[in-house]
Amino acid sequence: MLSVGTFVLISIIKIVIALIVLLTAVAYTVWLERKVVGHIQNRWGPTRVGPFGLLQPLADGVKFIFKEDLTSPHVYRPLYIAAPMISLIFALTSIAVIPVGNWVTVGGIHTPLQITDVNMGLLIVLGITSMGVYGVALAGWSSNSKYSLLGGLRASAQMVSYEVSLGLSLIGVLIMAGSFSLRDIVDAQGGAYWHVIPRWNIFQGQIFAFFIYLTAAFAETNRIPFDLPEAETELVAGYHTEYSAMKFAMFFMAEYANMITVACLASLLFLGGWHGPLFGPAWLQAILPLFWFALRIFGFLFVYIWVRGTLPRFRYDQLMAFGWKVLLPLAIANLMITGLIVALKS
Amino acid sequence: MQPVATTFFFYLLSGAAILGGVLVITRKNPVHSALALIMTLLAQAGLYLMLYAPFVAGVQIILYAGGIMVLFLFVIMLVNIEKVQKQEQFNKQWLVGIVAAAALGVLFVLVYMKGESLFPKHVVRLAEESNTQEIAVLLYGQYMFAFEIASLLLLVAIIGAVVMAKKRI
Amino acid sequence: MIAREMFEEFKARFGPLIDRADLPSDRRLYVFVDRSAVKYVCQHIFRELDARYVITIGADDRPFSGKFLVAHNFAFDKDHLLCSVLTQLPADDPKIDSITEMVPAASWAEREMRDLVGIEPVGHRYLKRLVLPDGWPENNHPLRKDVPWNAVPVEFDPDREFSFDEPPEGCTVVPFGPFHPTLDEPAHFRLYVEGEMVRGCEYRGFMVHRGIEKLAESVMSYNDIPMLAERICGICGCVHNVAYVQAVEEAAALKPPPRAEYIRTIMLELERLHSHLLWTGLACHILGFDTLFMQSFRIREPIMWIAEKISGNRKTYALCVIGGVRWNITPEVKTELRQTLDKLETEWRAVVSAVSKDRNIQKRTWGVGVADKDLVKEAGLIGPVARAAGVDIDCRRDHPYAAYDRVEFDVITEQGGDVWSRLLVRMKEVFESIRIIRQCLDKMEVGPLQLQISDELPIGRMGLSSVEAPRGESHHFVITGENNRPRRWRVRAPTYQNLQAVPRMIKDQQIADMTISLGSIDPCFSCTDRLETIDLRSGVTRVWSQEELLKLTRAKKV
Repeated sequence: MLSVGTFVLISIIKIVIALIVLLTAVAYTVWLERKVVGHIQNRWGPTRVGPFGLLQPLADGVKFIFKEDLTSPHVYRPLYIAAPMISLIFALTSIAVIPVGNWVTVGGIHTPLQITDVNMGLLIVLGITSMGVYGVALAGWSSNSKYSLLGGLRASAQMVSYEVSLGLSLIGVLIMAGSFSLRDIVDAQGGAYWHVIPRWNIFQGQIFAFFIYLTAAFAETNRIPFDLPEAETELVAGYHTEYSAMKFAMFFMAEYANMITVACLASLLFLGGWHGPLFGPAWLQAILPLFWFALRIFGFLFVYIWVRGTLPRFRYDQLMAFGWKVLLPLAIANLMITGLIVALKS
Repeated sequence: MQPVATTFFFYLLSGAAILGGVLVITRKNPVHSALALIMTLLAQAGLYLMLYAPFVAGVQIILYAGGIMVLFLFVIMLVNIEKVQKQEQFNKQWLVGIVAAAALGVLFVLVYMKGESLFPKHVVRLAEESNTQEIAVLLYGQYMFAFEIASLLLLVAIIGAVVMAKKRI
Repeated sequence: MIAREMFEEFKARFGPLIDRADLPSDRRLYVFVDRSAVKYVCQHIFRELDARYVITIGADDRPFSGKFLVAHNFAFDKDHLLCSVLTQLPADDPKIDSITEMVPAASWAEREMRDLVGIEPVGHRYLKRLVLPDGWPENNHPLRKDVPWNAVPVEFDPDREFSFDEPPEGCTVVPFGPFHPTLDEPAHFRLYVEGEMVRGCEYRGFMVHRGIEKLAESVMSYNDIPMLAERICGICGCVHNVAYVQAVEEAAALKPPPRAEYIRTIMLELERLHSHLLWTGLACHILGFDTLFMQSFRIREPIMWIAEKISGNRKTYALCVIGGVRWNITPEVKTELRQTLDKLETEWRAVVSAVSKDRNIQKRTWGVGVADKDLVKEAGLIGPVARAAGVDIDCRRDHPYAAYDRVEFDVITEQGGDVWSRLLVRMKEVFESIRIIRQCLDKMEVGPLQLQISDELPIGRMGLSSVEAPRGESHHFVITGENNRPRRWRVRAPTYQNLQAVPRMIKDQQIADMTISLGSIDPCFSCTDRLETIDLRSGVTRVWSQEELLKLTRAKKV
């Protein structure tokens, strides 16, 4: 049992590290996306700043800071300013309960690689991401522009709709693990069948759930092919039409932070979290789980970007019809079958 | 680890909830009212957490704050706010208001006086780990019938809404 | 029916109301009718004889005949005949019966005639200004001969805003343009929206009207104008260039040498190639599919290079002068062009097979932006829009010009009338263009590039020319005149007709479909507005060679 003082200190250290890592990851996800999509589209992507354009995120950041922050006179100011903050805060907060590895002992202090280990981890992530929609909805409304409003309405309707499928696709995993704790869920996926096929949930019959989750996650994060809230050829830029400089950057960062969060969740819930082959000296064994986890997240993000280079945008009514008439029944069916199997087994 | 500053958080959350409730009624701009309501709901979720009911707290946030209130906001955003702000906010039904307030007040006083006998003497402490299971067992076991009636009611409401909203089906 | 038979038919039906006719060839008919009969003659031609409406032209002929002139042009596509119904109006009473009631496609042209020439179409139901801004004085008509070409009237109020119609009950207005990511040029659509459904729209365009017709009639000479004409459009400029030259050649009864005709054909088809590839890319961009957008541009690039090899310019070839062309196609270029075409064909086949099976693109385009056969007829739609609705028209075959009568090609049609059909039509037309260019390269004979013209061109003669632009028929009307320049030159770009049908095409559709529906006609607002675009590169301190530029773009870092 730690004293309150040590607990607070450790927590602060962990929060700082997590935020730095997350924001760097956000910046380099943008770089990765520009690079990968560039190569898919017969372009180079960023090449000018640093080797392979690696310093581009830095240049972008500087640009965002020094850009003129335009605020149209017709906006509703308090909410207009609050909206990007709401988006970013909720996008960053959810990282707090996501575990990135096992318990470690540093300097005699035994602590999990996670800002806070709670039993209701998954529920909290879902709750926080569901609050993120307010940033978008309020941005659309407070901008007092028709394109923004349409974008905001589309976004809120889309996110609320797909959240249902997203949540239901996860329940199968929850039933199998019998816990809301992300750590328990990962622990349940350790080991392998016949030393070959890992016991990841995706190999335990949750493969449909994984694809439902994947699809819903695209919609939740407003990415192509479901990027209708900001479809530039229809709505200019949707809910962030009226935003510029750092305020826009906040939405931008929130979008990518959300991508990383859903990638983390996918890895933890379906792909076995940080499990993977361990070998070599002790220090390597300590680092490898982190590496395996990061590798999964990278793979998931790559799929994200790959899809962007491959698919055209859906139309709004098609999107809603797909969410309610296809994805939701599939998620419910998956849930019922999983429940049945688990009940029969026990 | 022992809970820290429980009393402080209780009053903070209750205060936020009450403040939010008052703001919902008094704000002229419906968007502000909706935001105040969200504040109340979040504070309530915090109170549930303090009662060692994390599942209820989570569901409160996901369903009420993250789902239903978004739809509220959705509708309000389509309303012409300028027109609404010019309308009369309270409808001057003083008599009914006073009677209702008095009844509520009496109820509060009664609960406060007889509180000892209305509630179980010692606090039932559910294990935090099995919280979800306990709720499930209660909902699908003891209160099965009430649960089904509630879901039926909701279904009727949904169908009613669809029928009323759609000109042609 | 040839022109003579058609004229006999008119005479038998309308008798004394037909004043006279001019039949320069079997494929052209200029018939002068009495002012009172215009309406009925046009109705007869459009409804009973089932002709296609092309354009209405108003001209100020007062300095020469003391009268105003109005011409309604129609095309008999199956008979390979272009027909112009002309009327002279007295100088003190420039009024003519509107034909919009019978020929809805004439709506814009009549409104433009009222704005620019001041000829009142009597009975037109919607006489709102089309071209002139609302702040322009009421009695000033720029295309009249007594209005100087370079003077702005003192009464002009540039700050006056547009006056718009009232939106219908229960609809919200969503402004679309003049600045919007999907619009490459300024135009304004006021969408009346109910939820996400578009219930109607009002169009306000002509924001880039530069009055190049006035410029041509006032200060330029016959051989200057081709260079001006091709600056009407950044994509299909060569079409206007050729169309103008052909109209003048027809008026002056000149026949360019055969080699020039082949070169014109090749350049027109090269232009179609790069335009269709560009359009496919843009359409995909509108659908949120940027990968194919980029790939289309990659495939398109070699065509630009070969055009640069031939004319010295990627675009704006400055190809034609009256009686010939200015650039030759040398044997080396010929070989290279063949190689480019082979590569293009392979690559494009791959794109077509991928796109034509793509479920997602089908979902976004099936049944979207439908223009059926009726709408094609009523609104006078042309080009891929008409062909996608199963209307088999193509000026290259119906009104052959240049060397098109000497090559074989198929006219691609589809039946759907929606965006998907237009996509298919355009993608398949690329192969036909490749086929045409290859035949031209085979058949092209050695010979002079230009006629030697020593005499002044005859005065007061009329010429019509229809050229199949990538977007549809581009129609030019010329009356030759004094001082080595035409008296009247009227350009009807394809978008001028196609754009008029957009409000009908987007009605009762999602907002999301609006952009692709508009995009599917391949709108060119500059063409419609007749703009002159000048690309001024200021501050360039060095000239980059193509190799250097390529190196620059491909280098990872400079």
